[in-house]
Amino acid sequence: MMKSLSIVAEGPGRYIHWGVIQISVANLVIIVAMIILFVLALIVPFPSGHDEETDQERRQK
Amino acid sequence: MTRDRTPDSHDFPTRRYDLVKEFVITLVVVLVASLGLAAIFSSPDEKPITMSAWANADPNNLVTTAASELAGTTTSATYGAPYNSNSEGQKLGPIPLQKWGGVRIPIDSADLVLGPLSNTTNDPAVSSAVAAWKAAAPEQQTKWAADYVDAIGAAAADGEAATGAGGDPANVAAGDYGPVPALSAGLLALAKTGGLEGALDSAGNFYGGDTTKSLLLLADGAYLEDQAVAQNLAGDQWGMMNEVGNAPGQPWMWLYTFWYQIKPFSTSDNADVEVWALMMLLTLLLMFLPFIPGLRTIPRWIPVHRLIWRNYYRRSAGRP
Repeated sequence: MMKSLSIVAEGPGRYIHWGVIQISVANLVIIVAMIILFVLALIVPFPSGHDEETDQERRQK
Repeated sequence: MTRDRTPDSHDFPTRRYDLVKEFVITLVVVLVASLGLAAIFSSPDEKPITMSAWANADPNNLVTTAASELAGTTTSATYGAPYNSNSEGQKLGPIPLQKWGGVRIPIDSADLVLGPLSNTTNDPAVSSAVAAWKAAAPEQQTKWAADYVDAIGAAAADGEAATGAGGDPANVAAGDYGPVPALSAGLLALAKTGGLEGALDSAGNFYGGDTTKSLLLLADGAYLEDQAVAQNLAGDQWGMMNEVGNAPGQPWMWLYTFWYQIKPFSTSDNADVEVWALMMLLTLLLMFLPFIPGLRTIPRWIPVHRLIWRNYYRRSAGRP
């Protein structure tokens, strides 16, 4: 079952050459995904509004 | 008497936080991601490289490698510590770090050929060749082997003309090579049977799990390197980052392998130790970042933390 699903790893590796840089497409995809996750972690707001409220602010109400 | 100016911890703003909830969510996400990615990418299932495969794919190279081991001219024979004292090995400037490691796994390169063949009792030609080799003086042994390696030569490649017999032992010119052709041919025959790994590794430890000798012999030939280059695993191909086939590799090794691609490391004989030293230096810089003037003020120039805690800083800015 697992073997039949593992189509991505089959076949020869695909590589990108750019000057001194040589990187596999699989590694590039992972690096880009990590950068996207990092940026999302920075800009996506925390889930709910009330969690942002501090105890001190609640006491002041 | 001075007054303690440490603020009371109750004066700091606090916020509610459910650590257990975060742990459970993280666990579930990582579990699903791991199983999903394992199903999609799987893991490489590359067949092992064997002496038998080498002997069948490139027999001439195995014969040449065997003769070179006897001549003491292979990579492992001239490697230095931990196998022998035939070179100082990697140096960091004037510091011979590799030599300082000492010869902890002494290996005579000729034993990579003679060891397995000495146990071959069913081939009289090989047995007499081993006996003839052992009876000869060291200078004679080296001359036989070196002459045979030169006579085999190499095929034309990279714009260079072929030498000797063009890399084919069958076409070697007549000469005095002593028992070296018989020894090399004997090793080839043993490798083809699939018994060479066992003959080399059985002397390592009780369970035969010490593959040092097999790997040294394999790495001295061209077959292993050719396979690695074909899979983009060579040092000058950012190989440290790569995995066989189309599977993801080790992208976090990018900085370590990057240095090998640029000068002066790419042309240095001591690249391994130089890259290691540079990475240790960079690691120390990272460890002591909070104490290094200039570097420790980077968050003031690039205030990423203000972006993460933007709501807090927005509220703080509005207060007196």
